[in-house]
Amino acid sequence: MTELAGRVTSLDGISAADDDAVLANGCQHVYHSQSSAIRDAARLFRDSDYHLEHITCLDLRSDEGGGLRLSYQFNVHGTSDRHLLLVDLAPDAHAPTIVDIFRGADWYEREAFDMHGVVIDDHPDLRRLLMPEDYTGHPLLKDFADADPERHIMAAPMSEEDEGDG
Amino acid sequence: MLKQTLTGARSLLTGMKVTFKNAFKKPVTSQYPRERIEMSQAYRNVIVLVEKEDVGSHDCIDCGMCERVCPSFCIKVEGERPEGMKRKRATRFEVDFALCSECGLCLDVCPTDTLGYSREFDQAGYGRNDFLYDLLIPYRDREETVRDTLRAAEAEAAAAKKAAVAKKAAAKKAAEEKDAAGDEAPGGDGDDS
Amino acid sequence: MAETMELVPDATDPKTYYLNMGPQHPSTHGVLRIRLHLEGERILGADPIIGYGHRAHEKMAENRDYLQFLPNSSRVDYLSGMIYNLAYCQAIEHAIELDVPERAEVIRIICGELNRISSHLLWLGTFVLDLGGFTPFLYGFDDREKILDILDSITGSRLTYCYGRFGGVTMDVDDEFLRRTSDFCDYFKRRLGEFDELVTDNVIYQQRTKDVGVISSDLIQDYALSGPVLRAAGVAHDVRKTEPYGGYDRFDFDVPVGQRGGDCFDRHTVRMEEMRQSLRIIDQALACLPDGPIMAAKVPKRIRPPAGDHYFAVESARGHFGMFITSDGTDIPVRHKLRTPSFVNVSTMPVVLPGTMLADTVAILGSIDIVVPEIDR
Repeated sequence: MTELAGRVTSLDGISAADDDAVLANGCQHVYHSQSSAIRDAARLFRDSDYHLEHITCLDLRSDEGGGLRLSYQFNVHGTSDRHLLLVDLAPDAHAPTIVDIFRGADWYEREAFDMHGVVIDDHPDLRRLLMPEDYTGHPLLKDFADADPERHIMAAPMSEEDEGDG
Repeated sequence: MLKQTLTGARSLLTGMKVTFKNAFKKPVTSQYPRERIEMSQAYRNVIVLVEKEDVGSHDCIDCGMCERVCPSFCIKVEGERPEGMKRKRATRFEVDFALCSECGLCLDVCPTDTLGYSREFDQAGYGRNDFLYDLLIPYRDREETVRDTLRAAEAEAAAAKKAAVAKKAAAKKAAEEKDAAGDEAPGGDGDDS
Repeated sequence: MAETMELVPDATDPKTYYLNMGPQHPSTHGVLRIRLHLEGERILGADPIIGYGHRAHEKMAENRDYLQFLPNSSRVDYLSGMIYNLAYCQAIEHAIELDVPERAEVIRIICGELNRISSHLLWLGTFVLDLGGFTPFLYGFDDREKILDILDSITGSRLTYCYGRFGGVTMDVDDEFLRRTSDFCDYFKRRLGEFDELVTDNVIYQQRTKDVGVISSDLIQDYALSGPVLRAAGVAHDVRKTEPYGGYDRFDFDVPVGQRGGDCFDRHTVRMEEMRQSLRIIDQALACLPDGPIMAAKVPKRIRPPAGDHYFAVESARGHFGMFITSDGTDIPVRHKLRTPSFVNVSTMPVVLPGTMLADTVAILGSIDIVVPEIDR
């Protein structure tokens, strides 16, 4: 365990993930974190010259006891030392923002809000990112079903009578 | 100011030199349709059923692999087992080219290698249904003859196999009989060879 | 962000106004819309509005098995589809621990670098076109066409290649391909000199790009910039060097960096130098192309990466392209996140654009080499 990893795990609410239980191929360090601890961790990574590679939201509600999960991945330029923080969110799907620490988190957090409905507390500008402003629903949730039939793209070819419309 | 003008003029002239040189090059465009460029051997377009020499027709056995692997769900295959035949034959093979993304996964999985790419390149249509391809069209009229040949070939193969099995069984039986005979009457007139 | 917050209409100031640049604008290279807050021609605030080309690749990935996502991979970025396609193959090979034969690896590198050059050439052409020069655009497309013909001869398509497969590539290269590639390399080395004379040394071009749109080192850590934008700012970081994937460690190449602090001209010189380095890699790869199979002997019929997270990154023509695949051990991924470089680069626009002139917006957007489908995914 590197010195930085030791400092990360010494933070309140963060514990190193068990290597046997969690597989993170390509990431050197994996942690479980509570959502309250993510800002401290982000600040620590920022002070250590690390950058935020991505924030990915996962819908694990079909698993037993699972909910939404945010994965924060930090890395450093020049070499490869990836730290992956897994934050399991409470059922109300709230997470603190880290925009004031990493400005690049802005769009990732908006994407998590847009696609998974994670509410990022204190985000200065929480709007939809990819979907239209008036869109309802969060498309990357596993139980998502688009209610508006007009938006459905026909996968099956048109019937013979419709021919000529194209 | 003067220096700036001079640098500007020099860079202009350098640029002009390059364009001047290129102005005398042969044009790289070809005047389609009067001229045609050679098509790549690997060219990909809508899939077709390739004629297999040993069958005299396509060799689609309706295994459904291409239908299953297709990411765009644009292949529909149906088939039947012709009477007196072991092997299945496709009775319907349709491709909705409007959905196809030409990835070639169907060619990869085809167990009889009977899928290939068409050399067409200028498909156009007025509606989506214009791109529904029936791949069996070139083979329909000779399907019955092909089936007869295949049936005959299968029957022949089956007969040959049967004969081989029978021969083997006979040989085995003979050997057993010989053994038995040998047990019963040592030095009997078994065909020792 | 503080900068986007400035976009709240300021009714008290009658001199400022809003302007939509895009969704249909020739220099946004696709359907990108930037809402600009202007005072005269000076930009006070910028707010990129993306998603017009959203094709739900990530949702599609969750609804099909790993193999069926293959054609999608090269459509994420249609200008360097080969790199993205091979990256996806490599990500899955990495996840299921499948070894690729050496010949296939070298072929992949040749094709990937050719694709990188073609992507940079298109960037050069359209960027100079944005700034008002028409000739380099035609020359760039001419040379790009030569690369597309070469790639066409082995893949059968010109943009969305779908050439890689898990464990190798679909088609072997023949002597004709190798001859054409090495001919192209020889030709293009001379041609790059012409581009330098025509574009790099041009005074008007220099004046339009020098000290314009500085994306400096203080933004790097904030935004995790990558690719030519990062290198132009002076950081010699290249995924091909830091985590040599797919056999890149066998080849000798340099990582160019900008000298002027990360302005548009730096990004230009870095990309020009990258093309030269790509040619170097191709030359070496052609010289050492081993014989052997192009597909791994044992590719599992069903692709089932072990349950857990898999991250794999490559250096695409635009920067760090990462795939975060979460598997639950079945045929279908739980999540397939695409971390695309253009997405990151465009998200810096609210910080980079304010203070510049409207005409420079075109130069800045062009110089970061955006591919809109890659932003929207």
